[in-house]
Amino acid sequence: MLADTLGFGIVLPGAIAAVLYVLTHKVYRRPEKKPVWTGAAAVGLGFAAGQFGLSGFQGLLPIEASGWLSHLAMLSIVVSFFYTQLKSRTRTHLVLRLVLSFAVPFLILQSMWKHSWEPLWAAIWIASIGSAVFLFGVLQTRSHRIIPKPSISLMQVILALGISLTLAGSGSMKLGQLGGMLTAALGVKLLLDMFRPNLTSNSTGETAICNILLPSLGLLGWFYSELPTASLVLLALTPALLLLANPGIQKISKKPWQTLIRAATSLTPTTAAVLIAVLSAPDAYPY
Amino acid sequence: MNQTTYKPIALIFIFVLMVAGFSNASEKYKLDPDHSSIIFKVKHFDIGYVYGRFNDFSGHFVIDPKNPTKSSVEITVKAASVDTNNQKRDQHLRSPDFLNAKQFQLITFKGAGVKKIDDHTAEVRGTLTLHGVPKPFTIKVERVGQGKDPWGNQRIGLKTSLSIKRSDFGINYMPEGISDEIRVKIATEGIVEK
Repeated sequence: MLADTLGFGIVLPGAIAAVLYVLTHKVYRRPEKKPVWTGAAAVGLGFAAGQFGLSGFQGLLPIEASGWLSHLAMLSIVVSFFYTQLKSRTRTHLVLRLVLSFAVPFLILQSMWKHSWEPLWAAIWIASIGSAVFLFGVLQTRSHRIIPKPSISLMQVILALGISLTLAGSGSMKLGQLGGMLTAALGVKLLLDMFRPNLTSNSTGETAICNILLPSLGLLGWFYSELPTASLVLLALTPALLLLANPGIQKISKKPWQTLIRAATSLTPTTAAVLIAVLSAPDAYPY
Repeated sequence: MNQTTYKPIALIFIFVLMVAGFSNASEKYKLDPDHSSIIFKVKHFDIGYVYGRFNDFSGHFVIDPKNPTKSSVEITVKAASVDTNNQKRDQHLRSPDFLNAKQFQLITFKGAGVKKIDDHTAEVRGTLTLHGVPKPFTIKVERVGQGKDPWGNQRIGLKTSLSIKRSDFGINYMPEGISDEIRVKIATEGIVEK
């Protein structure tokens, strides 16, 4: 069990991401030449490999809601690929991102809108959640544009690790493991940004994956497990806090201090979210 | 009225009598949850057994002794009603790690293909849906007793034992601590629906 958790949950997603970053570097030497979709592919395929290793192939139409995560990651890669290839990027990309944002609640909450909600309520829920997912993506994308490369990777790792621990703390180790896979793949990007920055490009591709997988994990935890609302709200607001704090942080002259304060800005709500989840969860029981 | 005129009328009359006869032969029972139990046991670390039960279920069955193929069974269990006498463990069992009871709220067995084995036993072929995964499943049902209760209700008592491999239904969490095989016993009383 522990070997599987470490092997498929951490080592495999990290290894796949690392191999893909190296392969991308072999093809496109200069960081600015690396297409956006390659970063999305490294993290997205790393995550999908980990989920496949732990749970097997979930089928083209997964029965379990968490089975859609790998599919959504693949769709994000495709959207990133089109973003790279298309000439009229802005409008088409906006439409694709909107579609993907609404696909998240539509696919993840199938059992709710099929069996629990009246059609009108289903439409209201999906419209509201789809809009929230889109807004979360906009805030994340905007923060990655203004925050320098290693810092944004650190923020993404903190957020992914935060949601992983929150899900594990609120009653589902399986969902926590899925968050761990995303953290492992993003962790490789962070290490490369710190020690081999020429191997990676900016974080646009990785952000595209985070924009979809982080809200999906949050929805799985809130609707199907016992993720507290306060934890979900704190995690969802983290990118907005970073944006709000950024003008003040940029006034600080020393870059290491900037990174440290950005990390603290992400860590504070994330740690609070984890603590709330752990404190409101029942104590562990002897198996 | 000559013979050719009343022959079809007589045939229709005989047919109606036959249908009425069959209708009387098959009886529809409603499961009585107050006198029914669904219990299960799983092996814990391959050392001992832990027992649990489901507290919220419903169902009905049609029994046609003359024509068993027309008999049927339908049982619906609320997954969230799992009870192992440990609230924390029950909450974990309801989580996406195991039953995922918020996503897959119901566990159902729908059986239609009934084959009589002897006067007390029948084999029911049907579909068991657990964790959202439907699988063909056959259970052997034994009649425990039958008769009227003091209030005049016609009752029948049935029991069955079955073995489920949870991995067949996509419940794979913690294989080293909790056995793959789950043994289930169902003992139920049904009351004839009036």
